[in-house]
Amino acid sequence: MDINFLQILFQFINFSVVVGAVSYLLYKPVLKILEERTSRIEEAQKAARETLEEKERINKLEKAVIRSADKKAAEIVDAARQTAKETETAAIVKAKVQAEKEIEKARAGWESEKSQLKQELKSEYITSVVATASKVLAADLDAKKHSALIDSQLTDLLKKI
Amino acid sequence: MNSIVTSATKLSETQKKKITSALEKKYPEAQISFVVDETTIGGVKITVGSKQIDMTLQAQLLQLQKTLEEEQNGQ
Repeated sequence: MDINFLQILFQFINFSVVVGAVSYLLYKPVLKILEERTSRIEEAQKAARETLEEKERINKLEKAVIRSADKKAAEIVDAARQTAKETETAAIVKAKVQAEKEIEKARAGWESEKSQLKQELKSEYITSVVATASKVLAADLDAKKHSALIDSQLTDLLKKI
Repeated sequence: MNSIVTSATKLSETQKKKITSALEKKYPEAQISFVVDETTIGGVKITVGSKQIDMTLQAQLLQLQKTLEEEQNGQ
């Protein structure tokens, strides 16, 4: 078997030309396409990471907002309870004061009525005593005693004329 | 001027004279009349015009009543 070096050289040159042409016409565009694809993938991955980070940040913010809202709501409820308690206490105090005033008013009225009744009873008693005394004196005073009474009054009476 | 002497029973003549004498001395023109009023209980009341000297037991009892009522009202 003979080795045809010329044929080998030709094949080598031919292969080199093919390799050069393929490299120029296919390899570089494909490489460029791959680089672009890699770049897009990296960008997509970066965007995905950023989206995840944003989502995480939003989650944290949401939790913080919920915590803040819960705290605020608890404060509002506490304040409302405190206000209700104060209002209740004020209402009780007011009612007590009002009740005491009413009791005092009723007591004063009762005392006044009692005093008036007492006064009327005393007045009636005095009138009754004087009326009785009048009757006793009238019954006891005969003409002789009456004459003696007038004699005893005369000196004083005549001085007053 | 009318003078009225009021008593619960009729006055004796001596008593009337004493009263008349005193009244005539003070009020020479006075027309004196004697009246019996049992409601006066005892004693004498003399009215001369608007002036009145009331020494009856009725007046004294009324005065006592008034004083007692005033005293109790002041308490």
